[in-house]
Amino acid sequence: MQLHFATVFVFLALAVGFAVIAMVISWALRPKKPGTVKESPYECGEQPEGSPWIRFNVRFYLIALFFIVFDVEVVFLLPWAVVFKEMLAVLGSFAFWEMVIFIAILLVGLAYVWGKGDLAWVKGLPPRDEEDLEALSWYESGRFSTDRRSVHTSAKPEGV
Amino acid sequence: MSWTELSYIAPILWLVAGGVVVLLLEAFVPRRDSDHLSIVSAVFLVLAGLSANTGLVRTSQSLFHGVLRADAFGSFFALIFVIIGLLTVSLGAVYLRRQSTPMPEFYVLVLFATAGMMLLASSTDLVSVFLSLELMSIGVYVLAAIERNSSRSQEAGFKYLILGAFASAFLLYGIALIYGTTGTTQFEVLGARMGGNAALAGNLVFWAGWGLIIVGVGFKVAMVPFHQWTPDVYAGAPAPVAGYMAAGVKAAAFAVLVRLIWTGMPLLMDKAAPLLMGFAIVTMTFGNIVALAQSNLKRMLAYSAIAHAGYLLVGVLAISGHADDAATRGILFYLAAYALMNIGAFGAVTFVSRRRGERSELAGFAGLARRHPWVSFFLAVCMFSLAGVPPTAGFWGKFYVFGAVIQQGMVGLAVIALLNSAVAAYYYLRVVVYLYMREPGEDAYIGDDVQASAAIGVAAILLLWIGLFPSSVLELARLGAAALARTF
Repeated sequence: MQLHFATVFVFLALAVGFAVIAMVISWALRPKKPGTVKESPYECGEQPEGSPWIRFNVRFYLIALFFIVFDVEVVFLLPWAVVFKEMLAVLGSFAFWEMVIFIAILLVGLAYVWGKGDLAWVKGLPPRDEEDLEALSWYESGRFSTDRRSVHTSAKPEGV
Repeated sequence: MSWTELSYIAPILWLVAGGVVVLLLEAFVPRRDSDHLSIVSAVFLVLAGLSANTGLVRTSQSLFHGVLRADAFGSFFALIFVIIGLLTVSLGAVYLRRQSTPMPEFYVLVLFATAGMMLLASSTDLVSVFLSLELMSIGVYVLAAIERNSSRSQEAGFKYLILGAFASAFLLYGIALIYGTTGTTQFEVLGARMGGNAALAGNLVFWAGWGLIIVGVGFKVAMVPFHQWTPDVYAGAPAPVAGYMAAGVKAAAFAVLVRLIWTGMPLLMDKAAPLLMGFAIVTMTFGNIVALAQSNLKRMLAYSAIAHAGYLLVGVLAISGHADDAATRGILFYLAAYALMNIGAFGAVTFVSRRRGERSELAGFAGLARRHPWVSFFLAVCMFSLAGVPPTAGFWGKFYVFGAVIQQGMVGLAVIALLNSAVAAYYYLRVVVYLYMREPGEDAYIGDDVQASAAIGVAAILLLWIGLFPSSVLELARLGAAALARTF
């Protein structure tokens, strides 16, 4: 039985070996003439603006998450569509409705994001109640320690 | 797959439907407070509970090509999870009411995670084990970090996520190795192939697979040496969440461990028994000794959770695979009792906590009995039950588990477990001493929430009731164990 795994390891070795060999050969054969144009990020002529190491808006991350909703959907829709006719013969309308239920559940995720207002690129400030505003003014008055841990436990009297 | 098969998993469907409904209500019907969501969640949990036990008592029905199994074992756990869910939702409502920016997603996550636990308890395929484990875990990861303004809660969620991801990777690799060596992931087929296969018994890759699966499950049940996350996560997560984790995640993980052990009988036990015995002894001893030194109730309960994982592992070792197996019955009973006492104990922390910062220092509980005689009584019942003092459910849990261990002739192991219980009594009863025999200090805790005290009360009264009349729960546990042996 273990012999079956040997194939996997041979495949692994071949895959790694192919990449290493390709890189070594091209490194050995290619002419080495470095220049300013050659070392710029986009050799095609595009001028880079600023450093790529900037802080991105965290909202891009949300967009990536919404994408998963559709991504997962397609991953399951495609094989389902391929065998749909055979499934219809065996299961009847259940074959159709189970996919409807599945997509409905996925859409709930999108609806939730929409309802929460996360699809809007520019969001208003979250609503704050009075106690929050009070806490905020206390926070901004600078009477708190810079250590994040102690913010909740320091001088602020309890129950205010 | 058909509509009839779906009707067998009605409790899970109710919970998922509940999660979806609450999620949509939360997003589209904004309200300032979220009490109505707790009621909606409770309604769906009750519906799930009502649909849990119908017609499954004397059947064992394989579902969806052997991925799940509808039997009394699964429905026993479904009932436990419904009770855990209901108590967590009511304590969570108390917790959310105190938050300045509450996160009503709490209810959604509890409903989905509970659905994952139920799926885990009825999974009979390694792939569905993994999927339902993730459904449960991802919900609980987020729940641990639900207190957005507390860096400790964020730390708890982050730690649990990272270490949990490692555990999942171990589990998945174990599943891959077992599939590679046997060609199946289904418990049924796996058990049959392990039965008459001498080559498999000597196959190292196969046993490495089992070892990795035990590591993955051991992480979830907080087995030493995979326990490091437990104290920080239990102490950092909000108290209702910590109670939910201690009760629910542990019960679900033990459910799948018991099913796995039954699958691999007797070959698995021959190989794994010495290893599991070592783990069990180290787990309970370590948990108890470190718990002795804790001055914070939540940390103490975290180490006690480790110790209880050790006792339950002792029970797992005594599984014989015969019809009417005493150890399986004992483990099921123990898990039901353990869930109630943990939720009750963590509920007491919810009761005395305030808006900013949770209050769980043992010193603050000094003299609580003078101000809150009932809550103190309920907490004391939970502590007596955790210590295993009659007439509480905790006593019977230990009695049945250790009794089964002695029946199997492992007297030495039973003696170690009993000595551990004696050590544990010190730190559980110390809480009772603080409640009743210490003068309240300057910063003694006060609580005012009726709903929280009611939830603790329900847990404590159930503990006393099961302690006085254990036969009904024991009968349910017996049916659950019989479902595994397929003798009804």
